[in-house]
Amino acid sequence: MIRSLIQKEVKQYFSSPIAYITMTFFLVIQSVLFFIFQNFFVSNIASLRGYFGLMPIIFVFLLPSITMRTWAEERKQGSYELLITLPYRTVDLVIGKFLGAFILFCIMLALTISIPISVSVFGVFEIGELIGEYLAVLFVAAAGIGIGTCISSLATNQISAFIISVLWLCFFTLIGNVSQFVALPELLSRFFSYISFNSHYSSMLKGLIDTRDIIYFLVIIVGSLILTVYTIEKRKESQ
Amino acid sequence: MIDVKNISKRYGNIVAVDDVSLQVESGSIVGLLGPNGAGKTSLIRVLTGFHHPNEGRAFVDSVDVVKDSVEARKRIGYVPESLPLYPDLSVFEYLTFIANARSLDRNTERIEEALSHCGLSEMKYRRIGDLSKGYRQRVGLAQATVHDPAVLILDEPTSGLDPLQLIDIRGYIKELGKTKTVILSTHIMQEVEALCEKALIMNQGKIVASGSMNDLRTYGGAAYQYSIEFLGTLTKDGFSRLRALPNVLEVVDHGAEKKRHKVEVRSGKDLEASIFDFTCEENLKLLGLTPHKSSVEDVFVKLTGGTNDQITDSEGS
Repeated sequence: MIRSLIQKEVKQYFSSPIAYITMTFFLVIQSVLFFIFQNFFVSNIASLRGYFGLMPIIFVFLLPSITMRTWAEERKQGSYELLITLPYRTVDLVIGKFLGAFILFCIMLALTISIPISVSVFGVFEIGELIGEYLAVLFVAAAGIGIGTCISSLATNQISAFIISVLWLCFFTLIGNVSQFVALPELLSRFFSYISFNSHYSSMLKGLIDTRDIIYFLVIIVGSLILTVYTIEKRKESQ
Repeated sequence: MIDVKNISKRYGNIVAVDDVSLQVESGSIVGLLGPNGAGKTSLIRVLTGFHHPNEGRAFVDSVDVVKDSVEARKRIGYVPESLPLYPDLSVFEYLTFIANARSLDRNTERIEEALSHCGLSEMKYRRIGDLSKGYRQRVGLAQATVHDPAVLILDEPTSGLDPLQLIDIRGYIKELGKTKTVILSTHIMQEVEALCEKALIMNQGKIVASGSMNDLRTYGGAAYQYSIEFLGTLTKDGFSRLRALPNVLEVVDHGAEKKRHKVEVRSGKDLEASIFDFTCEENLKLLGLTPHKSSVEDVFVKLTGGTNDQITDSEGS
């Protein structure tokens, strides 16, 4: 049953221009930043750490553009009522929507495989490191999609869902860097660093797959999905 | 079968449904009538599991719509009022999604049947967003019937249809009503009179009248209404004698204009002969005697405090 919802979600993404625009935006911006602004060819190092290091910043805008429509669009066009009255459990609906958005992201990410392949002529990549980098990207994207779908379930329209999601992802991405600009007490600085995506993401990028980082991302993903289920159930009572 | 027991639904301080109880047997079409804001859609949303009631319980095919919501929803086919569909999907893609969501066996066969019943076979691969409102309405009906549900809840299912489509869809709903429990919420009185065996009238969250169409037409005992016009003046005594005729429930004196006196009489039985005799006895020259059989619309207006003009407006809109 969830499969039918995922199929519908993915089909809807590709039936509208959103998926194509988002994909193009992602691939072009990512490549321009990496090859031109980071001077990949000048640095003469066969490493994609810089390429993957940029991704969380791009995700701040990319992921909300995928997730903004998940619930907000259903509510705006009224199809939310029909969806809720289909024989899905609320948790199935939430997981289906989340996976639909995540699969779209995976398709986008699969297109970036061309970058390591084309760059591999300049040197040999460490496959383990590459896998670690892709794994880190998948975790951070899943967390961002979880937050985005949760905000979409609370928002009344796509635009507000997009803006609020951007702000929250900005918070989670950059909060760890605040101590670089503002003098903070040690404890607060460590706390900000711990709740930030970047600290967990950057250690995974180095190939260090620490269970604490995985648990951090899983807590964000599961927590945001539980909050989405709660929002939908609560709306049945209060609406 | 639908069994509603003391359902109440509130939105903040607003009481949308107020202690409503009702039963609808299988194999019948029941009309749900009421002015805007009467609580029809709120009641429907409780039945379909979209809203939880604040009080009371409701059962669809003996399944509790709150405690066993998923099972109850499997038994219901629902066409919401605003008919929200996914404009980016084709008709076939959309129905495939619905059939899969309902875990149907023989998906393609069921979809083809629903397409054929709703006259959509030729529109199968068209984008829903490109369809006319009438065809989208048919897609709504197709998605509600693709799983052959025991209970069908239709909220304004014929709005936006042209006269030929209306005949088709009404015929289809009538056919469905032979084997299923159908709740038809509508503003169109003629539709209720043409399709439903029973009807419920809601006002301000309560059911103010219910029964067979015949019961509703004669609600309050008045089955007939006569407009009488005669030459001469009806005296006070004459008015009392008219009021005292057997089966007369109400007499409204509209007064005389250019020596023509107009009176309206509401009665429980046919009074044409008695009225004729009365005018002869009173030495009044009868100029006109127009009988109006009481309709559900009259009862609706009386119970909901609206006017017939308002009903005509809502039918047009």
